Formats: sequence, structure tokens, C-alpha cells
Amino acid sequence: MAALLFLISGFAAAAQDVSLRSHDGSVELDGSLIGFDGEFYRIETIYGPLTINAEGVTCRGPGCPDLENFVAEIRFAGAVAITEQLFPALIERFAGSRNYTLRREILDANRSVFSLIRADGGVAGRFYVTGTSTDAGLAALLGREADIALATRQPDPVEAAAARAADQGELSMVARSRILGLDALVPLVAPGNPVGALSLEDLARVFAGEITNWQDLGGPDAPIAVHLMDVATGHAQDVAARVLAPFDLVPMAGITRHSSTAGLADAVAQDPFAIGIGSYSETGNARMLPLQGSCGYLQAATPDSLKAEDYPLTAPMFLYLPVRRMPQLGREFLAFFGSQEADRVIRRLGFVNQAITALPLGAQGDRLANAVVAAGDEIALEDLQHMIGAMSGAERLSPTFRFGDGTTELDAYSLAAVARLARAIERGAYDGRELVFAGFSDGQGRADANLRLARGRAEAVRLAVIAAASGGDLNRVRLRVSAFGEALPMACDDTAAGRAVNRRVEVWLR
Amino acid sequence: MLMTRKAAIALSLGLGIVGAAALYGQSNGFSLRGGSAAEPAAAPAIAAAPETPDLTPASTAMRFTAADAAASPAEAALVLPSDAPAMQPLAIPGAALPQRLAQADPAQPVMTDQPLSPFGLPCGLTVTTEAQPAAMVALDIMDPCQPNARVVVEHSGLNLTGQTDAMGILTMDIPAFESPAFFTVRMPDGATASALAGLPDIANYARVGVQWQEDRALELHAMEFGATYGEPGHIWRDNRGSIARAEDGEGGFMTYLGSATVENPMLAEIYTFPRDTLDSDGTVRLSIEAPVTAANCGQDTLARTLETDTDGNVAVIELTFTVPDCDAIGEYLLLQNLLQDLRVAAN
Repeated sequence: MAALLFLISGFAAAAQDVSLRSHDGSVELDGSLIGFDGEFYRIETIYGPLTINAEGVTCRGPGCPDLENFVAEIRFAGAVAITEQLFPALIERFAGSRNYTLRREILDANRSVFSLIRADGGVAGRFYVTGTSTDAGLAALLGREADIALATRQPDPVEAAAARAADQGELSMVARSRILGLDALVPLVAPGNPVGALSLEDLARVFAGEITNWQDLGGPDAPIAVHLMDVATGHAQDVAARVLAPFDLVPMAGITRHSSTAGLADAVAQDPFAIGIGSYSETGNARMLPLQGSCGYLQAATPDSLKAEDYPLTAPMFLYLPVRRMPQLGREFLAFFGSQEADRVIRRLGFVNQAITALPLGAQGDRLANAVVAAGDEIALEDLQHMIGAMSGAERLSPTFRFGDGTTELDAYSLAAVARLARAIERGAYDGRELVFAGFSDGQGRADANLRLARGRAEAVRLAVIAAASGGDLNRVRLRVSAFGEALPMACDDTAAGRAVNRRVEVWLR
Repeated sequence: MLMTRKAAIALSLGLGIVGAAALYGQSNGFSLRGGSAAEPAAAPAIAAAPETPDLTPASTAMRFTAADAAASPAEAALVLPSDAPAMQPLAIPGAALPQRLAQADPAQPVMTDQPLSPFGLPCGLTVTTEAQPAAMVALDIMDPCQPNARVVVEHSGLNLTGQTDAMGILTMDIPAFESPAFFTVRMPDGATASALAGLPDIANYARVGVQWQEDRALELHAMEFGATYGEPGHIWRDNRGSIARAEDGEGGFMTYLGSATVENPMLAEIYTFPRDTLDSDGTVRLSIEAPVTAANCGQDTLARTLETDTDGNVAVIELTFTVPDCDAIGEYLLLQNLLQDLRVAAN
């Protein structure tokens, strides 16, 4: 509250650079202009920030924008992993799809402005793209130096609190974020490295400095050279939070740090005794190591395993939007991210898009093998037969929904997946078919309780999809719920990451 | 030769807008690219006689003065030079030339009652194309009455200058970015001709290019599968690779295009890489570099990048940046991430 008051008084002291008067002269507002999107003024007034339709008022004062020659300007800032290749490629294709010519002006080593030029030579918009870090992007969004933050991780509680204090709303809200595409944290080694797979725990201990020789991982007697991204990057923060913190470990001193995932991959590829945690999208000439659970399950980063979040270190790329209205061109650009053209660009650049794919369940023999291994005291033969009967002839759709420990609350990527699936249902993609929401749990606790939890989660997803698909005809598709509890594990239950992978609702298409 | 390079030089902020506009002041600013697809019957050549000599670049003088640029000066500065490379007609001189092209009779590419050149050949521009291996096009240009003349060749957003010889002949081998590949040739007297070539193997090759003007001396560098400077997999101007290398699936090759001996030259380097005939998999990293010289230091620079994708699109981005100040002479400007790395899967 104190921060809010301070902000208001701070703005009140600022220059009163615009005056908006209604056409009948009955209302007049003074303030400083925050922005103009071609349709609406947004001004800071003694009453706080207000959004006012430009059609209803006349603007006077030095801060008034040029209504005739309005050019949409949008400032993007954030993770270099997004700004260096993916974002320019998306802007290029967006421009191409609208027959705009694209001009890129390099303002600084990490800053460019992209101008979208109409066929008549007029400028439709300018996109300023600054590549710094997720930290800096989110800070710029809160400080209003950027309109959209590009992030490789979700805001931490401190950033979320700062957003509320800065009158920037709730960053965790679905409406405030978009998922651009998917990436993942992957262990990288040189192509000739003999080690075949690593457990999450061993990986954590290597980067904490507890394992320092390849011999301890089944390799040659040689010291391990470790590589990570710069401490300030969202990538390195994600590694610390998701790889090391679950084992109460912190990164050791003496790690070789990199400013780009490409540089990290290149360095690792050239050193047979190096290991790094890089990005799925930028493995360069290095080799990805799959993760191995202590109970034996292998998890490799693949487009399918990332889309379904079956790979435990999947890392979606986020856009965080301002609470205010975006200019028309900005809204079109955001809508473009959901297009097939954008999906193709995302795939071409090595990332994984969110397009829904279907895999025959029968082709997933390794999953059935897992189920047989897991069967025993708590999973009876008839449970397995029930599940295999339900799977036969069905396909698994890529959207998979995941939950916090012991909850029926969906994570951010799963909320985006609800929307994607709902759009597909509205389009009629599954007319005449049956969608089975198949609930699974981890193996912690009693099997009967897990079965009930799995059913509750499956029902929660079904209701969320129905609510989101309000524009479609739900009589044309059957939406059913099934629960199998802990019967089909995909990862070992001895780590938090493994349990998170197992707590899920899959969608089967019949 | 093993090269050492200093660290990338941070680009300085700010572009001298008026300077750039003045530098590239001569711009006809029209383009035939839009209309090209509607005239496939024009192949192999259509020629337009130079009936309106006032359209020559020098005399047309579509200058971007400060007044022109006032509405949006940043854009004016971005206009590429040239005789017509701008992809949107910022200024169309009466749209006269496209009309003349459309009226040209493709059945009679050679005018019969024309004057003859000193070598006895009839005057007039002819352009023919022939598909070559690795999706290259052999472009043969002949205008016997315009010897030693500056020629502008346009293809898919690529603009190049060449020079005819004493006989008025110019041949160029150009890596195509699209199929059918459409070429437009412009002569200094205003004559233009266009030609098409079909490249059945174009989908087998990825192509990236950078085009620049004058003395900026940009270099395109490809680091194949983790190669570093000076290694065999470092493909650039001094180690260009070969078409055979690409056909064998070993790696890519570099093509240097354009004549720098004409006025206001437009040059390009294009890297061609086989998409899936290789034994190795991995990444080819691409960068644009430029030595900082007394000629280019501190200068605003206009360039253009071109990239093909697997959908057959050509991504063309006009690029502006400032070469570092003159106290950096002798160092290299390194521009990374302007071109997308090529990701390759082995067969």
C-alpha cells in the first residue's frame, strides 16, 4: 500500500503534459500520457492511470500524439535465448504473412528495431527488441520500459509481488501470459563422450561439485569440466531451481559460464570431458544425454516428450503482457503466435511448438513395460487389463495436464494446453469421436486414494476444457473420464521431478 | 592460414539519418517483382527498348531530401540504393517502366530495324538463363550497344551489379533462391529484360545470403559442424568450398557475386548448403563480419539478408547498422544471429 501511494504521488508531481476534454466540454482530465494505441489514450491522472477512448475527447498539450500518422510501437525485452533468433524469425514471418516489408535497424549489440512497412511505404509498426535476460525483461515490464517481457521461466514470488505493487496486476494470470513455444534444459556432452545417460541426482551433484570425475559416472578417469549459462539468465536460474534445489544443492564455484546457449553447446562439443546444461533448441554439435531414473526409466528430450511435458525439465518460453490494451498490430502479432505459420517457424528453429499431435498408444511399448514393472502389491492384474483395454485402438494427444503435489490445480503450460484443446474441439477436429481424459497419479500414498485423486484431476480437466470450448458444439464430441491411479508410471517416484511427471491427465482419442 | 579475430565490437548507437539518405540518394524505388509472376510467358526473355532515357538512375534523381524524409526520417534512411531494389515503391516515376514491360512483345525479343554495334551486332538487350547443378542459374546478358556498362540484376530481393565487356556481354552464375527463378536485368539507358529459370533441385539446398553496397566489405562466414576459424569447415571468401563438395554431401560452398568496378556497386555473398545429403549431422553457424577500415569506419551501412526455408519462402530483411568508429580500424565487426543457424540431420 505504501508503494502504491508513493507511485500515485510521484505521478501527480510529474508534468501535466496532456489535457483531454470531452467534445461537449463537460469533462476535462489533466495528466501525463502513458501511451496511445491508435484508439485509446492511457494517461496517469491524480485518480490513477485511466484509459480513455480517443473518439470522445480532444487532446491538448505538448504530450498529445499525432492521430493521423499513428505508428504502433511495441517494446519487447527479455531472454536472449528468445530474442536472438526465434523472435526475429517470428517477426519476419508475421510481416511476410501480411505483405509487409521488414527492416531491421541494429541500434546496439543486443537491441534492434524492426519496422513493418506497408506496400504504400507507410510504417505499420515498429517492434523494439532488447535481448538481456528474463530478470531484466520482467523488471522492464514492471517499470513500463517494455510492453512485453520475454521469459524463459515464470516470475518468482518476489517479481510477482513487485508486479502487484507496481499496479501491474497478477503476472500468474493466464490472460497476462502466452506460451510462445517449448524448450527444455538438457545435459550436453561432446559427441565422443562414452556416458550414455545420467540421473537427475547425479546431474545435480556434478554441478554442485560433489562429483568431479567422469569415473564416478562410468566414464574415463578424467576431471569433469562443467558449463552453465550466466548467473543472470533465466536459464541458469531455472537450472538452479529445478536441477539442484530439489537435492538441496547449489551450483559450485568455478563453473564456466556462457552468455548464449549456442556458445555453451559449442564449448561442450569441443571438449570430450565437458558437460553442460544447455537448451534442447540449441544443442549445436554436442550430444544430448537422456535422464535416467534410479528405477531405470529413461527420459529423452524429444518433440513428443516436450509437448506432453513427459520430459521433466521442459521449459516453456513465456510472454508477459501489460495490463493495458495493446495496439491493434500488437494484438494481431500475439494472435499470430497461435498460427500454423508461427508453429513452423518455431519448429524450424529447433524449438517445439504446441500444435496438437496424436501418437498411437499401441506404439508406446516402453510405457506398457513400465506398467508391468510397476504392477505388484497395489496394482492388480485386472487393473492392468482394464487400462490396456481402454488404450487399445486409441491415440494419445500431445496435450497433457499436470498438477502441483496433492492438488487439482493446473500448471501454466497445462492451462495453455486447455485452451489449445478447446480451440481444436470448437473447430470440429474431433467431431464424432470420443476424448477420454485419463487420470494418473504418482505412487506416493495409498493406491485407492491415488485412484480417487486421479479421477478428480481428470474430471477437473474435462470441466476446464468444456468451459473453454464454449464456442463449440459439445454434442458432436464425447468427453469421458477414466482413472488409472499409479498404474502407468512414466518416471521414477523417488524424485520430486519424477512424481510431477507421473501426476497427469492424458487425453486419448478414440 | 589461421586467423585470429578480436572480440566482437559493440555497435555504436544511432544512425545518421540524413547522411544515409544522401548517400543512397539515387533511387528509382520501383520494383517489378510484384508483376513478375503474371508474365511467365515472357521466358526466356523479354526486352524493352530504351525509349525513355530520362529514366536512367542518374537523371531520375528520386532523391530523398530532408523534406521527403520528414514524416518518418528513420524509414527514409533505410531505403536501399540502387536502381530498383526497394521492395515497396516509395517513389514510382510514373510507373512507366512496368507498363512498357507489359507491352513488350515476347515473341519478338530482338528488334529487326535496330542500329548495329561496332561489332556488327544488332543493338538491344537480351537475357537468357540456363539451370546449372546445385540450383545455380547461368545468366547470359547481351546488349551489344552498351559495352562496359553497369548492369543491375534482381532476383528474389537480391540486387547485384555487373559490368558488360567490350562486346556488351556479361555472364553470371547466380545461386537461385526460388524456383522458378525470376531475373530482371536493368541497363543504364533504362532498358530492362526479364527471364525465368526452373530449378528442379532447389529444395535440396538451403541458401543464405548477405547483400551490401559500396565499400562496406561485408563477409559471410559459415562454420560447419563446429569448425573454427581457418579449419577446412570454415567456409568463407578465402575458402569457398565447391559445388562438388555440396553435391557429395560434404559441406557447403560460398559464392561471391557482383562487380565492384562499377559505380554504386551492389555485391553479395551467398552460402549454399545441401539440406540432407550429408553424412554428419549438427549445426552450421553463420555470421556476418566486416573489417573496420578507413573507408567504412563510423559509416551507416545498409545491407540485406536473404534466407530460404523448407517451405520455399525467401525471408528478406533490410538491415541497417553503423560500423564502429575509426579508432577501431584493423578490428573486425562481428554480427551474430542475423542469420539463422542451419540445422542438419544426417541421412
